[in-house]
Amino acid sequence: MAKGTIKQDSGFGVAQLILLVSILVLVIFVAWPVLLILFNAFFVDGSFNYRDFYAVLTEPETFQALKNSLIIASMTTIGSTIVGTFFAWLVTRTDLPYKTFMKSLFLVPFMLPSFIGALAWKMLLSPNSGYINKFLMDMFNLQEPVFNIYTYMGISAVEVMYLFPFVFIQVCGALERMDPTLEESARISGAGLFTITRKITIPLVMPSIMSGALLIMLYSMAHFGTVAMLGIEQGIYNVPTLIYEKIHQSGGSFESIRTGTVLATVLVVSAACIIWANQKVLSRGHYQIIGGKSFRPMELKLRGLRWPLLIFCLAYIGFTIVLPTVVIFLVGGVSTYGLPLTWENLSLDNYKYILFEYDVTRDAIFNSVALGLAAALITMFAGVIISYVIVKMKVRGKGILEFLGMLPFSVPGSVIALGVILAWSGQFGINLYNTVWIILVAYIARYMAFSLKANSAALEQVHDSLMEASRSCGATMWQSLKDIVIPLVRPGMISAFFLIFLPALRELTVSIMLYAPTTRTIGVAIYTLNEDGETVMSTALAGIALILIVVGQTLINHFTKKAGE
Amino acid sequence: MEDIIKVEGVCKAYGDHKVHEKLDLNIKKGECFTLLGPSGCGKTVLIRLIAGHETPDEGKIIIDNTVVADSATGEYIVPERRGLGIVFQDYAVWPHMTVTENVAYPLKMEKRPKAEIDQLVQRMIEIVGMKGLEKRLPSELSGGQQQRVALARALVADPSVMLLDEPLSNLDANLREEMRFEIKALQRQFGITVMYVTHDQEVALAISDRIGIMDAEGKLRQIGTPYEIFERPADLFVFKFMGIANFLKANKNAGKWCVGTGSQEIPWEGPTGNAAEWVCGFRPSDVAINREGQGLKGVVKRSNFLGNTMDYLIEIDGEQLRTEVETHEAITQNLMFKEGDELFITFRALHWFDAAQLKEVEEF
Repeated sequence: MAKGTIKQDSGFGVAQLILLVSILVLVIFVAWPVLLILFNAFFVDGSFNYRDFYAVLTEPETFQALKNSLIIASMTTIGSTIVGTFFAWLVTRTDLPYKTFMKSLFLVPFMLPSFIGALAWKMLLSPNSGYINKFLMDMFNLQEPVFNIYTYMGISAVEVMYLFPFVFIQVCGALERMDPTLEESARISGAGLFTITRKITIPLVMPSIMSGALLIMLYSMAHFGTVAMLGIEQGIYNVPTLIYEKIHQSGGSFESIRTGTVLATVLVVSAACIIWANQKVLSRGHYQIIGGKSFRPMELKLRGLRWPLLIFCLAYIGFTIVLPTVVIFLVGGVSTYGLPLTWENLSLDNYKYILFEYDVTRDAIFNSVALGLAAALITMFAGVIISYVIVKMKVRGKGILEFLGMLPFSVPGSVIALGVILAWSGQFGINLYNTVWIILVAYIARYMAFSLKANSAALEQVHDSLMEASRSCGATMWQSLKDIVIPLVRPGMISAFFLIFLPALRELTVSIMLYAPTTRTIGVAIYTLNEDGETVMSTALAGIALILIVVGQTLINHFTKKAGE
Repeated sequence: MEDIIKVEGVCKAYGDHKVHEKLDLNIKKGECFTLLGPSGCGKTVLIRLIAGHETPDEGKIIIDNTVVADSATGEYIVPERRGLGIVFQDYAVWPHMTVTENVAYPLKMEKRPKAEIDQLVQRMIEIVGMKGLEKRLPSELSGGQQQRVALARALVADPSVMLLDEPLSNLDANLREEMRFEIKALQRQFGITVMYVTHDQEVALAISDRIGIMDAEGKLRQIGTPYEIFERPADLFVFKFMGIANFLKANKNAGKWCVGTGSQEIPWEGPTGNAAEWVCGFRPSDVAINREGQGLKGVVKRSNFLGNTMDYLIEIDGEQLRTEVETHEAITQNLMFKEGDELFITFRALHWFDAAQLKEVEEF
């Protein structure tokens, strides 16, 4: 007797319908574009051709971009890991003054989009006109600039400043959850602090450090903004910037699309490898002794170093966050880039102009807000349905959905953009190219991962029996969803909304490949205005973007705190 | 009396793991029926099948003369239309609703008038002793109080049958004892049918009109009143599951049944049937001991003072058994034994079992 003969209320079954819709959403938005990329990378004229793939890969230009991606990502990873681990240790395991406040300060770099940071550093440290370089040259009567930001070192340093929180958060969590009795028993056995740190503490938090480092590696390999701001002028391309350059300059010729798909394939494969390695590291490091409970960890007495280290931390924040932000707002206030930053040169005219008069920036702000809202709403609802199927429903064919649900996590932004171009520019009947809709489609694909993560975490908290109880109390499936499930996952949905809305507001990687003259986003407008030499307008818009981000982040904190109560 | 739930030939498997095979079970209207079995034997699956949260691979389930699931015809009635009240092991009280909202929910689903809902909910909250806590959220209640909310919610819409899935297992011992009498009292007061699932034989004996014993393979070994189950166990599994048990191997020696390999005759009527080997089973309380007189002669191997009782481990011809005597009785009757003392044993009750079953049960 086949199981399928048990009749649901309607012939086809609500469960199968939801499953089908979920699979369709993920296939259309994520799987299909990626498949098109792989197809275009490996098939020439309809036949499989790996030699050509290899040939494109070994062209000097593409090979150099791959090497650059690897060099920059490695340097960024090493730097961020050292910085993140050091500060994490400082705020969890020492008696540094104002520790909780310092901990929240170290999370601020997350809010600052790295391409805006890069823009600020360009103005501070560019060899010819950077404010710091000019200041030092005047001061010491030097002929040569002291710093050059347009180097591997400069690019990596800027990335480290804004990416290290990935490691910081992971390591803080591990250090806080670690059972202090492990260290205490080592101390009782006569081990010195150095031995304890080397033999007990570091091995226990190593998985978290590794996991944070791999996340940064993944992010930096596929990172567009900083390299585009600081590298392109000097001919330093990494994989995403080369894909952009190829697509952008050639106007979508076959050759450039092909190079793009080959590079994108390399990105997808390396992202998949990194995610696989991360899961290996995390599963191996699943120590029982790092429990969910909060303990009071052993603290190292810094003694005479307490205040000097606090000053060092504050100086770091001042140098990496405050200084660039101040520069953005000041340069945004002068009429021409290069004027000295004095009171009489500063005004709010630029801000007024870009907010109320200048079409490019007004459109950009409107586009970004509208796209962010639409993408966040659509992705939030799609995410909650798909997560519901994955976490809660028992239907055949769920395995496909689970696999598809993993995909959004491993597809970098520039790959999504390229895939969306292949899928939606007319070859398959629908042409969204040069419209705002193609950006929306790409955003949905890009941010699906965030929504799936937040919503499945919320749904896992909702025990099956809660829904079964309401069914047995006389509620239909839809009623139970409405009365029980939705109210209980609402905090997850709200956090998914903001997790998408805020990054979408400052998105650059995807929109830069998809924009048309009237469909610029804030990120694109900042980038293109800067490229066109409209530095002050670009900077003023960056300032507005920063204000929007800070206000949004404050709202999130407010809402998530409420939801947590 | 009429059967309110009928389970006929139900099979249910998860992948290769067969939980139930050709299971038949009838529950009578108005009774308190307990399904008793070890953890993982499929009791919860059966409750979920009856409630409609699972569908049987094969077989038929009938509630109140209505077929609610039948694999042959494909009939399936959704859980919300089966008119059952359920109390889950983890209470499943909705965390975002107050006590009142939780209890009122089944009535709201029936679209009863507001005044009636208010009155019924208030009455139910009083019955389960939660008056004054109506506005609280579940996170502000203790485990026992959440359990009462779950009970009230299951009872408020006046269901024909209430299903309880290990509802007391998360409570501490004192509260568990109190709650089990309350459940029994509520069942009597409302006159509804209760199907109760547990692995705790004390609860089962205390509240049930009938008990069904299920083994780890999901097979029903015996159904009967608590007295029948305890005093006339169908087999060795049932006997062992209902409490501490002693088993003595027996050998037939010149037409007499003797302990172990020795020649002392067991002072009880011999077994009838054709098993190859036999064991006799009895509980520690079924053993009577004496300093001298009739019965089996044994030696005290271990003597333990447990406060209220004396606990003795006794060896008879190579076989061991445990017994207990109330301490004050032991003192007045001169039954305080030391290790190495000799004594004589008779039985108040004794059951014969096929020795092959002993091996089977020990494998669990």
